Amino acid sequence: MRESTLEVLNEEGLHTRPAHEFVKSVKQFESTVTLQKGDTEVPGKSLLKIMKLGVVTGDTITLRCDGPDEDAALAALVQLIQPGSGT
Amino acid sequence: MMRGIPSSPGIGVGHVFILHEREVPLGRTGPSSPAPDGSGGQVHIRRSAESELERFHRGVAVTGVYYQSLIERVRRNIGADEAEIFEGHLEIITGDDIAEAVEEAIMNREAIAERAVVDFAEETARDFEQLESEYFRQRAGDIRDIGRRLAEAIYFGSITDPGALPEGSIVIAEELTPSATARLEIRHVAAIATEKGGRTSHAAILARSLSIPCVTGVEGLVSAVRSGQLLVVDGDAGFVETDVRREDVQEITERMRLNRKGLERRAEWSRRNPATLADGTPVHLAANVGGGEEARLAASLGARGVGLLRSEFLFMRYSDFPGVDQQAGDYRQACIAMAPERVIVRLLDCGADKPLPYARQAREDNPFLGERGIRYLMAREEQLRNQLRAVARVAAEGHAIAAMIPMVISLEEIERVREILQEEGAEVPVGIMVETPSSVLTIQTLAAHSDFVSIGTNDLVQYLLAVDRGNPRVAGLYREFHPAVMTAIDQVVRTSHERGIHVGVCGDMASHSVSALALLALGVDELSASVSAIPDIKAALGHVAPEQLVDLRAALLSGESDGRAAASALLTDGPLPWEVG
Repeated sequence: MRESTLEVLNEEGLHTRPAHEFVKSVKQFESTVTLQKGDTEVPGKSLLKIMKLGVVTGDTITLRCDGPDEDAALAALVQLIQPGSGT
Repeated sequence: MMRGIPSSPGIGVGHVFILHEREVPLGRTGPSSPAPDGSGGQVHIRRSAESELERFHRGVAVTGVYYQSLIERVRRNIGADEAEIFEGHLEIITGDDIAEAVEEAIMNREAIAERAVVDFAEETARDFEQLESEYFRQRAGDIRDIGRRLAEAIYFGSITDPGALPEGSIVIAEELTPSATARLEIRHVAAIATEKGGRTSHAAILARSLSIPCVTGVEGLVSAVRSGQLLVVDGDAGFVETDVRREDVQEITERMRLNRKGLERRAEWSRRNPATLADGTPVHLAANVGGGEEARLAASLGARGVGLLRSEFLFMRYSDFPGVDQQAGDYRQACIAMAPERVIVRLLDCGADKPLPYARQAREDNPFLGERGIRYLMAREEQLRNQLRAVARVAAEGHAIAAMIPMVISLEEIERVREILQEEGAEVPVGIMVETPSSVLTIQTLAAHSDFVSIGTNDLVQYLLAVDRGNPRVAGLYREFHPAVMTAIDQVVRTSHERGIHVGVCGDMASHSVSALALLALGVDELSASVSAIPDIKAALGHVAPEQLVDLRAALLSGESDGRAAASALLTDGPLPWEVG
């Protein structure tokens, strides 16, 4: 399993549009993805649960990816949360 | 025949398309009972858990198809960003969260599918309302809307789709909301009639700008017509006729055709002839628009620039505050349509008679004296900053664009806007709307800190005379030619000109020939008129000599003679220029 704790830097946080982008990206990978803010951890495939976290720019979140393509998944998702981070 | 308020001229005939929210009866469980809305609809009776699950899945499928076509239409009519938000809604509808919650309610709590869906939406909406961020709190409305659409699809097996209306439809609604109008396929609308609203309602303004006949305020309209029935809407006389004979249809269709041809000739003439006085003195005639499409229409009528881009109309098309990218896209579109002439963006002026659903403004006892215009923006500086960023971005791309501050009463408001622009490192001309008595009385100071001023006559007259023009008991006291109004305009023009500041007018007075002449007589540099009025004003100006305006000015400022009569006397009866030859 790979995980990364990071600050949300994209302009709109996880508003409807970017959160949907995130979910679409998660679904392209085989790995199981979760997203945690504070004490709440939600599945990366659930747009509604992600939106209910109310993630805005500047929040700190933790991404966890577990599966055969966990490295690629984590890299792609970090890129969405921190555009231009180039990791 | 049913009477209403004439709200957009012209006559239209076609088949009724009723735009309304269908009530879904939701009774909890047990025997059927009449629908709460009195529509006669019965609550669906639960047979088995399996059949409810099947109804739910069918509903999801129907809703999915509806959202697909909605997404396409929104992408075409509004833009990719807004379409992507609806794509997110589709993901929620087809996602596991709803399905799991609904299954649980159906299996364990004997719910019918409609009730399960609406309960889940309500529960989720309340969760959103607990969140800290205003953005996420406002998503509660989206979730409730999704729940309603799903319940409608489950109960009726279909969703009323305002965009799917056939060509030549008469759109009938209790009230046309901005979001409903954004989804309408406007090319298919022959006329609009609504129960509520008036000449300044969103539907009426939209109809006028698109030259669609419209009648508002028709009591009992929705229950008096049937879907598909033939109907005549007369936007000149202000009535709706349900008793339509076949031969009438032919005659009216012919009149509509002639009318359209007449409108085309009028547009053609307006495009070819610049606005000038009889001796050829040019007059700067710009347009008031609500967006890029209207700016294109204005440009095709030969308007020179946009004197008022009502940014609140653009905001109304979104389900939440548009971001910098979205706003910049909208402003750029208007600039491109109008290039090389300038587009003046009025900063968001919501509140009072122009509520913005997601702005969540508190109910006020006296909204016209409340938190509107720049007051609202200063209380939510993030929105002010975003809007200025968007305008600055379009300016930096080389477009001719300026920002205009609504409801200014003191210098601090101008200074705050300039500070933000400075912090953003942006250079944008900044002007003010002169629409409060305080801005008239302190115009000397305000003009010194503005790049231009524009008089908003609708509010200025209302505030100067302390008359609510929407109140029929005092509407007769609302007089644009009142000596106080004339003196105020004169003072603003003279004081601004002493400082070399350009004075425009973007209120209703610039949209009618008689008052437009009065404004020119008072020395106003630029008239910004509603798009549909541009040809008529050009035609009227062409008959007036500069010397006549000098005399008119004296009459307007004498305080004793009837200013309106003096201005009207300059207009000549006779055929309009596009009707001759």
